[in-house]
Amino acid sequence: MTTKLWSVLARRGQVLVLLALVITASCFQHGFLSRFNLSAIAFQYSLIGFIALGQFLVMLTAGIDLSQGAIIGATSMVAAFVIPSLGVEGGVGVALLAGAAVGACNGLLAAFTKVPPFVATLGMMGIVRGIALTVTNSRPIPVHSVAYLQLARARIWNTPAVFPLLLVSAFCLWAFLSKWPLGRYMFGVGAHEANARLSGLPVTRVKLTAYTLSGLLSGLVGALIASRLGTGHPLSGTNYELESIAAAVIGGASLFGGIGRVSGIIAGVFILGVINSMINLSGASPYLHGTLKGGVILAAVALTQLRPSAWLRRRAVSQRIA
Amino acid sequence: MDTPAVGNRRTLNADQTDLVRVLGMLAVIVALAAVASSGLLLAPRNLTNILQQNAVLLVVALGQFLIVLTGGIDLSIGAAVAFSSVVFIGFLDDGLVVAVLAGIGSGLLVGLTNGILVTYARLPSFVTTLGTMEIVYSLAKLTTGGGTIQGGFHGAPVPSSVSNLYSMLLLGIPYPVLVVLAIALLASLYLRSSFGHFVYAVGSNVRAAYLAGIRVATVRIAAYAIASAIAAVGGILAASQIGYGDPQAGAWLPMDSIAAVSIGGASLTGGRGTLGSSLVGVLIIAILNNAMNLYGVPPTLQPAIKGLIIILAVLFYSKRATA
Repeated sequence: MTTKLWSVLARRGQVLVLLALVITASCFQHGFLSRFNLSAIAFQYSLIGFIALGQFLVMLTAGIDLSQGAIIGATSMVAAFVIPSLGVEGGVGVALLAGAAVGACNGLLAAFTKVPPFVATLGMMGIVRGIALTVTNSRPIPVHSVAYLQLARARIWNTPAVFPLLLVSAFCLWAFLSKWPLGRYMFGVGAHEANARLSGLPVTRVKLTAYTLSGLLSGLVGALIASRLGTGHPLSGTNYELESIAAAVIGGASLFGGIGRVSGIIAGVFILGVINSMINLSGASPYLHGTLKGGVILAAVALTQLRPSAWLRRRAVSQRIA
Repeated sequence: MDTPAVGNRRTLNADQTDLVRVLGMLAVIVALAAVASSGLLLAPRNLTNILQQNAVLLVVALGQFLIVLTGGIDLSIGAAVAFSSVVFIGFLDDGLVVAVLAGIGSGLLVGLTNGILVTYARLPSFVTTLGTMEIVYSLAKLTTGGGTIQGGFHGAPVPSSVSNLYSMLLLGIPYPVLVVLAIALLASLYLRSSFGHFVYAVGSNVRAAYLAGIRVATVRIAAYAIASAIAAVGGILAASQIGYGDPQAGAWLPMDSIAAVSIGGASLTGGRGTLGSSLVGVLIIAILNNAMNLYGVPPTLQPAIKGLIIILAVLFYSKRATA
């Protein structure tokens, strides 16, 4: 019975931690349940959620994508640039395509060269950011289309529309990872690449897919940020990749590949979101925010790294020996 | 893996090959940059300038190299620089020696925290140091109350010996360069000791190292502590360069130092690379930065060129037999 409970805890740990946090915050944090606050969390962390899903895919293949923030900056600018000529759909479409194109470059580097993903995407971050800054002369591009500005402000069932969109994307990703052969191969490639190659898994295709999807999702966030802020700024999205990596690791993904589940990632994202909101509402000195946030990241990751089942097994063995 | 020598012919081992390659890259970059800047790059004044301006990065890269050798990554290294620069300036009330010790001690503390978390809590180094980066930056800001710190906690001004140190020469060599050389010497002595060899062992195969009786935990924690202490020296250099402590300094240091170490041929999976090659890796980045400024490349375009060079340089290694 206890073992079963522990195994449920181990598999659904993130979701339970999120629930506990939400309950704690609702009880003790004045203003947490206000509509304004909840909408703010739902919007801001849905954006992080999209790139965390992309980061999760890349991490499944034992890679890492440091270029996400740069892609967000560049695509927010691309979207703002093409809206006057191509309209709202065109803006989103081109941003998605541009993001996917950069992601595909990352994928090509990861699949066909031995450059470690960390270095490849770090270099790509510089390239994308540099080109975006140079093309715009480091000036933001304003968005005037009212229809486009409405995009990020749209609401469904009284929540920001990006939140249900994130849930739908997460569901699609879950279906892809658990039902589609290519999705299943992601776990195999990440768990042991040489074995996967010898077993005939399409390693190249898996990596290309993971990085391209990560780029595509970053492009989506870029388009949404352009709509939300009303400008395309080449520097928007700075350090978002660190946030998405933290969320994915808190959500149970392993930086060494092959481990993680979509529900955990989404929970990990909103664990960060709820905690961030609690820190903001607590009225602590802004200089203290980093300490609180860093401490929480460490604690959350430490919690998810605990393997209660392994601990129980070890205890059982030691008791038998004693 | 060393290639066994065939007959009498001497062959270079992998580390020597890496050094030759990275020196080759340096030569190419220097040649291109010298031509592009019509010789300005090679003016002696400019060469000392490059070294002086990149002393902090050179120091930090030495620390990062140690961490990369263990198979980890240290994102908190820039925060350690900021924190130690603040602590160093703050403790100037109690004299220079105390201030330097306090600065290095603050770095040591950051490194010990990282090492203990990575080793005993078994957290991946990337997220651990991401977390400690946030914490240490915030501690630095709490210490100064948000802004920069211009003198000791009790109001002692920054003595002129500190602010002049950065540009002072000893035997024609600027002080910061001497500091870099001293730390490089100490670090290479450390890596040549038996304890230092264990760092390579732990980085290439933890389990084998453990089974061989190496105290993996001690080796790892020591590596993290030493790396951050080295970074703290970089923080003291940074403080003497600008004359005050900046709690937001060094945001770009982790990524630049990782890039430099990778260009130097160190493997991010650990256990492979040499200190000399890593330093040459930093020089490549430093000369690239300097040459782009001399050539008048707009600062906005510079990250793009740097990114491209980083990818190309590391691509260059991927052809070697053992990846």
